Amino acid sequence: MTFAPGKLLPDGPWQANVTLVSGFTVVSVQATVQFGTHRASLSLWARLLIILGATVIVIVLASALARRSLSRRR
Amino acid sequence: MRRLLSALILLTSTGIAVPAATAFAATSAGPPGPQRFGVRLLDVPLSEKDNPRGLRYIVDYLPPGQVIHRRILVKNEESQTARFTVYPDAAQIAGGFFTGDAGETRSELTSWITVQHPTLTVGPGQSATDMVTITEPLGATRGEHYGEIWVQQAAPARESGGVSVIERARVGIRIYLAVGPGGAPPPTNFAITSLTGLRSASGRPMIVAHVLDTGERAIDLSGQARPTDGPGGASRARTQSRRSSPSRPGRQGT
Repeated sequence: MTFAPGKLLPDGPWQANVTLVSGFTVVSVQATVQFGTHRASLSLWARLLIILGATVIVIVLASALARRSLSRRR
Repeated sequence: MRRLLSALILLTSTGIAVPAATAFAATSAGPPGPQRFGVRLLDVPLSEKDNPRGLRYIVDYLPPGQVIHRRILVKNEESQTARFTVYPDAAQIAGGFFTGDAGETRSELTSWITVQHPTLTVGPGQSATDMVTITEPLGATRGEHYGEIWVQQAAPARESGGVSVIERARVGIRIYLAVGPGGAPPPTNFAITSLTGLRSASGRPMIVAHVLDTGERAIDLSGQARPTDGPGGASRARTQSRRSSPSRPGRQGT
């Protein structure tokens, strides 16, 4: 079960008081939680650029190796 | 025969004021299709009258050979007469969701269910009652069985790109039926095994409660969270979660 208490909440620490209910059964717990620092995730374009760059490097290396082996044979 | 509490709750003609326990179906505007309609339970066992699950779903525990009856109310919210089909379907709980199977799938539970009026014709703004009867055979398999009573409306077939399309809308009432030797019902219990704080990719703080179903029946969770004693002694208002998060016995989920 996930709760979203509000976007402006500082990292904490906080005492989280959670009560869950299913029919007649009620369970409550309390625990210390820390929301932590948001780690910026890479955008889709950044990921695509990294993949593209890695692909280009691999192609360049492969072609360089192929040329080298051809020149040795000659 | 078990004592039943007849809990007829009048439905208003507007969707806003309809009790929360009513399930509704509606389709977007456009060509004539299924209309807006709803279904809810009318009969609840006295033992379940204060149980939010018992008011919303068919929840019961029976020894083999017993018979139970539940009336349902089907409400046509539109301005045209509508024809509905009412039928049982198999269902399962997986990944935190209670899901009715496609179409009219058979199961051991559905083979015990009969519907008094498999088809209903309801006038505009009117309602009709139907009776669901569950007859447990003597050889019923022990344990909890899941199913759904669907109320379905199908629009007339229409042509779309050379293909005949039949639009169907259905709303249902879940069934949680436990079969056992009788006496006290099997326990319903769960434990919150951990609380975790995290921030989503958009920077939104989240409190995640991990839950283990430690009982012998399925659970449907709702609840609230309140962060207190934060930096500078700050407290925040309660955050409610209305999402129903079903779980099967022995399963862990969030």
